Amino acid sequence: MVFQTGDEEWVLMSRVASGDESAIAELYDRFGALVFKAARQVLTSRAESEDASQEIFVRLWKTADRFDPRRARLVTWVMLIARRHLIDRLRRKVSRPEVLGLEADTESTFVSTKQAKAPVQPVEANQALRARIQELPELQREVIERAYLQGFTLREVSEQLDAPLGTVKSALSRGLARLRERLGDAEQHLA
Amino acid sequence: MNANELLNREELIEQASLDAMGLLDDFEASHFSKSFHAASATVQEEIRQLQAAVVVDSSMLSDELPAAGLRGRVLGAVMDALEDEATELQPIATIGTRVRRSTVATPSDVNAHVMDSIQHERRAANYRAMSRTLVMWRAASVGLAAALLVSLVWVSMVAGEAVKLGQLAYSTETASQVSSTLGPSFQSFLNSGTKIRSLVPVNANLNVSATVLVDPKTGESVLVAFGLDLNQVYTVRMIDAQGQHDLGSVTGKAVQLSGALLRRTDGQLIQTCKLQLIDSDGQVVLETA
Repeated sequence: MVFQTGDEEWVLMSRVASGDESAIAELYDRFGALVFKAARQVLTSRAESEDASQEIFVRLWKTADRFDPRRARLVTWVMLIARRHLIDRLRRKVSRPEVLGLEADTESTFVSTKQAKAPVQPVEANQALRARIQELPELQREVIERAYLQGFTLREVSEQLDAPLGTVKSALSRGLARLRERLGDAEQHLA
Repeated sequence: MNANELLNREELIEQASLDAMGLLDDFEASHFSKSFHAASATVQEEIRQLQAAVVVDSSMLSDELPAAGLRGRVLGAVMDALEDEATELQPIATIGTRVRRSTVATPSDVNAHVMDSIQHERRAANYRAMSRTLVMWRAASVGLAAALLVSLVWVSMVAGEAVKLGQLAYSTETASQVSSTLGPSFQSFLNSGTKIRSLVPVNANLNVSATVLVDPKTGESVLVAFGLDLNQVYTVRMIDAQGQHDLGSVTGKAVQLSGALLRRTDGQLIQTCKLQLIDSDGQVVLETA
């Protein structure tokens, strides 16, 4: 039998599920930096991103037995769990804004769902990304800021912007694709 | 969106990045998954590749790297969580009593459904061990079967091996053994829908037993065994009309509990097919009746 990547990933996650410390270490070695970078993108400080990374790996252990290699690659699964955790964290912040300490890189203002009709000022953890978002068409920009950077659900964004859900979904998908293209172009240009 | 209408390839492609980034709500994510599974193998592979590329796209990630010390803190946090869960699992000794702990995630009566079955298998293994070491136990246990705990106390006075096994059977450590062996995955089997299949020794002299817990909805299953030879690797085999398939392996831990998650399979089929536990020499040790 050919030993496929999916099998190898399934075995790794089975070991993680059973609490095998060496498997958890292997999971961190493969995805720790990626998870931290995803957290750092949307959270205000390094300390907060490190806390989130710890919580994400605990969540990965708890959900390891649900990983299905037929449905997604392991990296997708890991980042899905990470993103969902970050979204939960962002939502908790929306409902309970924190007083930022000295470690915070920038001042951030989170808005509640009700307040969200007003212009938003999301986290500016990554200036390059923020600058590119500003160049997007208005609807794509609004949707990305609210859904990707602030953790609102697409339904909430749809209500906030008074736009059909399908339109919001398309705007988000196109906006993200456009961002990836633009940032990719910029990196190539700099290189 | 019509919930009955599956997404076509273009829609799947459009929503693939949103799904991978966790931006779909539960209903939409479930609809996406349903459509994904209904799509052709080629489209599925296309989606898998696209999603894997999207999530590692550097343009959507920070440039900063984690501190070297984070690795240790992450591992520490996971191991702490593991220990916490082990201590939170309801001790088997309390099953059947009125004691309820609010920290246990699932209702104790549901836990009891699964735990009782495991306990039953464990008692069976103990019984076989005792009968080998002490003929008197066999006679006594017939009369005292209704009060097994009392029997074990009695046996403990006269049979060294029985003491060890008997104490283990009623030890609160069993719950933590289950947890540390199978981790969080075991929790998902603590529900009333779980189906239980018992494996019995092919040779009556063997003091081994095992139980397979099956979630018929997902096809996920776990094997819990007692009395497997220390460090011996056993294969779990499923035999159906189409032939035989290996579902996984489990390493023996002697009188300690052994367990393993099995490869996901047809949830209905695994309830009816023949299951075998095979040792490293290819000999069938246990099988379903």
